Amino acid sequence: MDGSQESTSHVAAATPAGEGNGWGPLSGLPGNPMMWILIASELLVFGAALIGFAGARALDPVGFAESQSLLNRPLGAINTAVLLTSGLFAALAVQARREEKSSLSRIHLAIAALFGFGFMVVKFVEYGEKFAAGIDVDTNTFFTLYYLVTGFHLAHVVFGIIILALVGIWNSEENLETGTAFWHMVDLVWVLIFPVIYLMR
Amino acid sequence: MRVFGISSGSMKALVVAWALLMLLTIATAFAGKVGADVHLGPVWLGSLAVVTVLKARMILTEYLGLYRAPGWRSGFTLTLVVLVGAMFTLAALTPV
Repeated sequence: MDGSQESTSHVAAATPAGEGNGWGPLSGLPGNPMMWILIASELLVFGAALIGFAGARALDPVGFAESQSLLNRPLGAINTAVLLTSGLFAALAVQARREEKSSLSRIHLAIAALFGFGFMVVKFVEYGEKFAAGIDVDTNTFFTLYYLVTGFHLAHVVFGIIILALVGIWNSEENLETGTAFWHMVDLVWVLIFPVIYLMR
Repeated sequence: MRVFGISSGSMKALVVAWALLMLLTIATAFAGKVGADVHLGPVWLGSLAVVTVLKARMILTEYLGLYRAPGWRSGFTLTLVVLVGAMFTLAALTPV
């Protein structure tokens, strides 16, 4: 390796992922900038869906209040804590990897995924309660939106767990930053869904 | 960026951020009156909206690492304020 190549590789190792790779203002973001484009898109999609939910509620406040009272609010609150705790372990995994502690990083990722499974179990308990009471996606507008928004989010949880597994195997720092960024986006979206669908009345 | 005097980007800062997020989740449950089937007035709706934005900003800053990109953090926070503001304004304007 000549001097200029050595100098270039040192710069690459010392700068955040994406920096100096032609991403312009996106270069300063942690992880792969493409993930941040996805995060912004998802935030806007779920944000629009929740504004739509608030609009639909304005057209039928009595029907929405009656349906919302059938939701299990404590389970929703518990699931918020479960997902945020999962997010902590995902963030700890990245920090451990930065400190060259790969085994600890993988353990943290596994715990993050376990909490993700915990979220899914609580969600299935909640859906089970609704189905047992004869409430499904066709019951009324409130439950159509409830199942669509929470179901779409749940699909992201499943996909997020798969991503956590993948970056646990191929665990470069950039992969971990990018994969866990998706997982934190799932946290972020749930933090918006819970108060709007379960509590706003 | 510092969380209670601890610099962002350390394991300790992440644990402190998680503890704050748990407190904010309890605040969400309190403001949203999880245990009661009552209508929330504008004050409680406003409180719920503020706590929601604070939680989201904490996730962006500490979990997603935007303490390293304060300009982007401001942009995402502004987006959240607009989105959450629209949701809760619609709720506050909805007749009981």
